Amino acid sequence: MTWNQFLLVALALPLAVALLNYLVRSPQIRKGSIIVMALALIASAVWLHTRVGDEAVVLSFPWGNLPILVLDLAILAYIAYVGIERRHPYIIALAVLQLAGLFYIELGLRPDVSEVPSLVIDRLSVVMYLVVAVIGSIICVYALQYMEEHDDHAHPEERKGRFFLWFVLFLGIMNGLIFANNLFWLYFFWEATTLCSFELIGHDDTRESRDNALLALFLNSIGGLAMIAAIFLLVNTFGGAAASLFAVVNSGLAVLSTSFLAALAFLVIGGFTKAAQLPFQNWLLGAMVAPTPVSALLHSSTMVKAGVYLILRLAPAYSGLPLSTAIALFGGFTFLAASLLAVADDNAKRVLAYSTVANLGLIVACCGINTALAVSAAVLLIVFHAVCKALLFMGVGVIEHNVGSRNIENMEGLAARMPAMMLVMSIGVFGMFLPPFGVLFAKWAAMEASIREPLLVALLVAGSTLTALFWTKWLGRMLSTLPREEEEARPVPMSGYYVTSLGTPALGLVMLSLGLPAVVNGLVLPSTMTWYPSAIQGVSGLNLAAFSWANYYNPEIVLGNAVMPEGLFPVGLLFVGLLLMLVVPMAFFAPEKERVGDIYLSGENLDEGPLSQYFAGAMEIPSQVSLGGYYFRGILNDRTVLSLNIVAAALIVMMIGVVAL
Amino acid sequence: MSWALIGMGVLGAPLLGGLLFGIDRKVTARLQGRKGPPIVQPFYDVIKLLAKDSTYTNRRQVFYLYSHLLWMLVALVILLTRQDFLVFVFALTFSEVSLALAGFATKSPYSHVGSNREMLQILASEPVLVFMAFALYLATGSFLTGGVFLIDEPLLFSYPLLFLAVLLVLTILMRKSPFDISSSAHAHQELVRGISTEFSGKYLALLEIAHWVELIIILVIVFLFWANPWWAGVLLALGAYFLELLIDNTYARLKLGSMIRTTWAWGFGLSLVNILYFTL
Amino acid sequence: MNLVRLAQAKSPWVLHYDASSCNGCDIETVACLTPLYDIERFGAVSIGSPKHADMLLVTGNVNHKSKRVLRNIYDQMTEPKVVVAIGICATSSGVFHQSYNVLGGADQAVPVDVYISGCPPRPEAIIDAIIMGVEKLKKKWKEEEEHPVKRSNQGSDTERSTADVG
Repeated sequence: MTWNQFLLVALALPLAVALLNYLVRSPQIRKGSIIVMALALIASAVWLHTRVGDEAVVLSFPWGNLPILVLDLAILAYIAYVGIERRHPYIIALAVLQLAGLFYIELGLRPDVSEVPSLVIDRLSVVMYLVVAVIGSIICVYALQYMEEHDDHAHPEERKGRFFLWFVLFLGIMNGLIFANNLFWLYFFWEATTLCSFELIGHDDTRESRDNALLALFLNSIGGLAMIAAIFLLVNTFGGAAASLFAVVNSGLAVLSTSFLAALAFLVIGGFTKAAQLPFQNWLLGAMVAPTPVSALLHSSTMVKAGVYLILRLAPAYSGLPLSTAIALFGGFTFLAASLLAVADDNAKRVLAYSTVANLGLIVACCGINTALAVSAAVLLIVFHAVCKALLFMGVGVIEHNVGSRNIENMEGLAARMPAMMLVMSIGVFGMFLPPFGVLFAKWAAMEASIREPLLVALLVAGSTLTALFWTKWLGRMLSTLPREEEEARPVPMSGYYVTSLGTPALGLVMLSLGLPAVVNGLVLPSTMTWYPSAIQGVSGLNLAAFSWANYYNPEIVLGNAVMPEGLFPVGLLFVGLLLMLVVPMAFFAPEKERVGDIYLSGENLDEGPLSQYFAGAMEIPSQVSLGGYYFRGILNDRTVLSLNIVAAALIVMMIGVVAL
Repeated sequence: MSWALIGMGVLGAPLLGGLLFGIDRKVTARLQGRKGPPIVQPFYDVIKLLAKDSTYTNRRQVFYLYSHLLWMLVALVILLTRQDFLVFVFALTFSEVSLALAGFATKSPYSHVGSNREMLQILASEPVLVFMAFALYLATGSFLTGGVFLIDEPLLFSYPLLFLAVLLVLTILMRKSPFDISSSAHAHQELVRGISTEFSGKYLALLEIAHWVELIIILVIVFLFWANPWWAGVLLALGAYFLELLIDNTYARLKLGSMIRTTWAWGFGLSLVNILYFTL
Repeated sequence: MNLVRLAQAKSPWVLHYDASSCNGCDIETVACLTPLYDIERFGAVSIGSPKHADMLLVTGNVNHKSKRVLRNIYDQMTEPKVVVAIGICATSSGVFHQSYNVLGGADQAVPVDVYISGCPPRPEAIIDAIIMGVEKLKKKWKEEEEHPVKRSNQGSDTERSTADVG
């Protein structure tokens, strides 16, 4: 495959499939074209992984900036039109400001971008492409079945066509974002993802969807404006050659210029809005009203990852500066705040959204800590969180269609009614916060790296413990069944699309976690190698040792003649534990010798009803056992959210202020 | 470390833990002016339970109970082989979460209340242990517990506040007054039997054995505060153990709200202050 | 002696159920746990859940409402189990015999193994009864081992107690 062919597959193929599905309304063509596209994308990802070595691949197009500017104008004009139609003054203002900025940069400053490469593909781009292509394709397959069952009121085929137009188009745009180097191209793809998100959130066309879509458009436009400001500062101070992402990352201009640092800060703020960090998190929470494939694809695995990808990409540029510490503290605070708010929510998708915000905050914190170990942890988190969260969202979608509700309290007893989904959700939830899975490994690395930023330590420790609280609570609600419930349950048959699209990430999560050394050596370390030394290496079999930059606090420990590693993650031992956990209960469980007992209700059990959950209450009236989870609404309510948002905003202001130092 | 030693550790820890619990009951009895059960009583209890009829309410309850014991043993092995303390904390968390899930797996009110409270206790105990991992790093340069055997100054001297926080955690994990709100040792009841209400026979025995292993794990954590020379650490651990006994017998159980406030504020606060003192 | 048998005899876990007692017997029973009488030296512990208990101590008069509750608790206990009726009310209704709402002793609801009369019986007598209960328990363990009963997984613990609602 040549590079042009690769770009055709990565960028043009999704566009073509999207348009095809919009124009031709046939379920067979839809399924066929999307499955073919999925396979092509996955194949191209594997090809890219083998093709890109340590040297970045530079691709330029001789078209100049004009086509991109025309497209930018088109998007901004459409956004302004939406603002006018829905009477949202802030959106109109932001669109107009961005248009004005673009015009001034192009016509007033006239930057010469002929030397700036349009696309650059390095190992980090490969990692992102693998995530987007593989997980994106899986979610497309899932969406085929999900949208069949989704209730589209009038004109179902037409709405499905519109859905898949934006859904598949988004994949192409995301691929472009990952590879973009020319900042104008980056800005275009960035705004295009905002547009896709807006259209997809509003898909159901209810009052709620339209309002939340507008909110997403508004908050993401703030990010767009920040990017325009950053481009302006760079082009104004350094000329057209500075409109290159790699030039910014590799430059040594940081220490010399306030405007450079300010541009960095604005780009990072753009990343914050895209990644729904506090205080911008409301758009992501509101976006949960969209159909679940949208939540799985855009709002957990890919689009929000674009935000942290940018911050990660820029990390070498602000390394060692006060700006880095400010970013770390902000990320840590978001991690804590989002984990705290997740405890209070009983809507499953909103809990997943808060968890996404928290993990993105953790990635941001790792970028801020800016050591080799921390940056490796960030890349690992991007990969594993995408797999795990996609799995969880898809699972919630299937459950929601069966149970008819997204509320955690209505998922009580799922383990008896849908045992296969229970298994999937257990793998997903365990994968998010327990050893030996990848997200925990990344969290472990992040925590060990965080000792470099002492104030961050408290935030990470508290946030990490809170995540255990809400995951356990949710899993507990799903597990809670009565003694006879399993005998009465009729398993629900699952469609082939669901089995594939849920089974692959579940299996993938386990395989990737088992093969952590391979993932680290093959994907993670090469992607940061250009700027950071190696921080993690394999030691004797399936262990992984973590070495940091430099040992600030104590001289080395000498153990005989050997030096002790700073940290050790025993993948092998932990997997043995997991294996025992699965095998030992089966070995010792003998149902013929033991019997199922009723639950203890102080002796007031009645045998009324088939499932014996009734007891004699006051006045001997048969009452039903009713249980619920702890949500702490008294402590965690709107006032708390407001205070957290205020603190987050203050941290951002501080971050910009620190630039002046 | 050789497999034989690991095996001995894994088999010996429950036995030693059981014996310590028996001594606990005997000493408590003597403090109260009565004769008390023999010190091998916990073993009598567990053997009886293993032979008794076992009922269960559903298979997932059984699964998570085994998981609780197995991950407790994994955590013990990580400690015994002197590996990364932070990984040990996460393995211990897996064990605690499994116990809470075993309680949630049945739709029983008492079980659920016990599980919810267990999770709140995890919220109190995990941060302190993670801070201890950081203390290990700051004192030795490595997160591995092996390092603490090689430094000259014991961890206790630099981290006295952290040690106090660990004693708080010790009280919580040993399920002793004033923090025994989720399930408590014998002769106390709390909301029937908390998490273990729906366990019986063989499964209750497993829970007991896990509890013994947990005691040994916590005493090893205390031991780490003065690991060099090793007999000082052992004395420290036994001293902490008897201090717990004394506290258990002199204090009444705290209400849920007070317990949470006390342990989170003091546990988190003391550890954080101690760590920050060395890093800022 | 067989270690398992020894353990079974040395660890009787006791569940105390008050079926509308005047609390006289309850006070004396709980007094057994105090340092003065100390039943813990025999390994007995007052346990909260029937699934953990070997021995059920019943005090007070069993009436129609508490019959169902007592039956439920007895059924939820795991084998082998022993019931001790403490006090004359639990033995045979005492002074309330032939009253309209009492059943005539705990053995009208559950099979009783040991009876103590007294109003209330002294703690020493109660301890004596518990020791007798342990002897009965030893016999039941022996029977269990020689003729193991096949447990059914189909029935509910509460099947036999539906009759007495309301």
